[in-house]
Amino acid sequence: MMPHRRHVLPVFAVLLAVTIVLPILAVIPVSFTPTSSFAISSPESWSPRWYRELLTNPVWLDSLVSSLRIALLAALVATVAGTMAALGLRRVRRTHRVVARALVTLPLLIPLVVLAVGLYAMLIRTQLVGTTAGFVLAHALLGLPLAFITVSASLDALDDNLEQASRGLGAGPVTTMRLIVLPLVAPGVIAGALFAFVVSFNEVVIAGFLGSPYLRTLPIEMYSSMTRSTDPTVAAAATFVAALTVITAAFALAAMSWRRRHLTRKD
Amino acid sequence: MQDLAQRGASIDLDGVHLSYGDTAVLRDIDLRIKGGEFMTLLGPSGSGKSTLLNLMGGFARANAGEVRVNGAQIDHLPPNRRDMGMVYQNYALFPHMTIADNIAYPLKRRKMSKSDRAALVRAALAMVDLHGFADRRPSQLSGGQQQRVAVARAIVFRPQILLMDEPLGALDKRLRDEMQSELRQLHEEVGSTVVFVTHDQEEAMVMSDRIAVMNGGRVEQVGTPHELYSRPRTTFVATFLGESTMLRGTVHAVGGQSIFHYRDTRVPVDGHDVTGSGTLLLRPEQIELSEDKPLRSTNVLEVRIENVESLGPTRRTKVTLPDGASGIVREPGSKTSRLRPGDTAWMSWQVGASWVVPEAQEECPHE
Repeated sequence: MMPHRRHVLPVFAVLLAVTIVLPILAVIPVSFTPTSSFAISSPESWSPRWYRELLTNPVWLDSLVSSLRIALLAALVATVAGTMAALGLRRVRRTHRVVARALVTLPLLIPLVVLAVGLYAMLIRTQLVGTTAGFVLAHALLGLPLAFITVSASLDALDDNLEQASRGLGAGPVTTMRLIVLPLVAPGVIAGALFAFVVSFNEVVIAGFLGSPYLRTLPIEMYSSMTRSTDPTVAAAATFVAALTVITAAFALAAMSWRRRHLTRKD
Repeated sequence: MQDLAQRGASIDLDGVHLSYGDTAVLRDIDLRIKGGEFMTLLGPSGSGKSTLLNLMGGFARANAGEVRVNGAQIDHLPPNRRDMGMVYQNYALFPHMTIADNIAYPLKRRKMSKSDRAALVRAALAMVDLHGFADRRPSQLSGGQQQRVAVARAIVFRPQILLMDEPLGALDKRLRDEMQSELRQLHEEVGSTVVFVTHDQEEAMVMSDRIAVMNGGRVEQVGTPHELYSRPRTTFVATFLGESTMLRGTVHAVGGQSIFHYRDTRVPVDGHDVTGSGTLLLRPEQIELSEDKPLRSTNVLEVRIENVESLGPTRRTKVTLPDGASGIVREPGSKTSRLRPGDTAWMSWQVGASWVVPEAQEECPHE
């Protein structure tokens, strides 16, 4: 007998969710293993041994700190630039705006390897390969379209008359930006910053090109560790990265839906 | 309680011209708005009325001409230094601020002390009947309440001029009627000059001291509602403000008197400097219909009844004129009539009711 149509969709949805989430969840039991091998352990024997390793071994710790530092700075640069681009492009003629928007969002569509090769060629001339500044610039380029898109979406939802009203009520352009525009697009700015942070923190390809023995990010350390040995610290790092990503993305999505709930009119 | 009363400022526009690229939006506008006056800019969409309002507020820049407030030129002033209250159709309340903060916004920009601010906000809220709403958010208020807040915010800093861009356009009919009289009353109380934009001729007639009828970027005519209704200078103004029957003919001067010719009918029209082709305009309530030919021979036309609508107090009859155009007659509902669609009847009117409009150079579409 055919299963009732009503049940097909939920079953499919659950299967899909499991398929997506299972590989991510699989690293958790590995990360808590008490042994030195990549074994899935049972919860009774779980130990924080590999997390301690992650946070005490200078090789792992340095790469983790580098990753955090680069991601924070890249997110900052990307968010400032993306917000300014989104604000500025509102006042530009339509044809120019379309071209500029396409340019800003291009890094999202170009294969990362292409971008990485190009960046490497440019940064090696300026001697920025293997430096935090080089990483920040490269990763900011990836975060820029994300910040630009989320801020643009917030701006599109902003009623133009609000700025006019503010001007008419006695506020200059700067005060209007500070008291009306920025507070109202803040959720978009925050969401953009969080997305840019995650993208930088998780990035492997460009980091592979720009890294040096003295400056490696966590994903690169994980990758090289995997190719060398079966150190369960990788699983601990992976769990850490996954948790950070999920939490950050959740905040980003919450920020975007907060705007929708609180700032749209009822009628 | 703080007093929000104010002496309204006069606004003068001289030869104002504004175009975007090749499109002229405002053409050569001269307009004098008296201090304390309720002036409505009335016109169809695209007539330039909102642009003209934005120009006064400093949100649009004229290519030529000048704007003066109380005689002083203000074209160079940015919007924030013009001291005009503005109300928008979609309210434009700041969604992230409470009602009190919205209303205090213009006061804070003017560096007013906290206690003065609080007193003025209270006075403004009282004026629009919204005490007790100070701590709510705009999204928690109904459309009518939001518009009241917007009005309070626009008057709280005692501007001499209030600009209103279709402020009642988003409200339903009942609420709109209510707000019309409230705004009228508010205007009496605060005394500011009000420039009010609308495309609704009834609203314009009810609210305004004077109306400037706009069409295609020009001011077609300025006058009191009564002047515009009974003495329109163009057919556009005539059709935009109410229904009318139009007889297209010619005016000849005969021995010091003007005679309007329409087919075989001759109507003396006095006090007109129109000669050549023109349109005799009759408002629906000025026309009488009868089944038999009236005794007098002038001011009488044979018409065919197209349809009859009974509207309770009045009866509205659509007729076909001898030249095929249609006319509208409105008679008291109490008057008995046996006229049915297809019947032939006679329409007549008082000579004094005749008003001739010169032939329009260009026929302008309207809504």
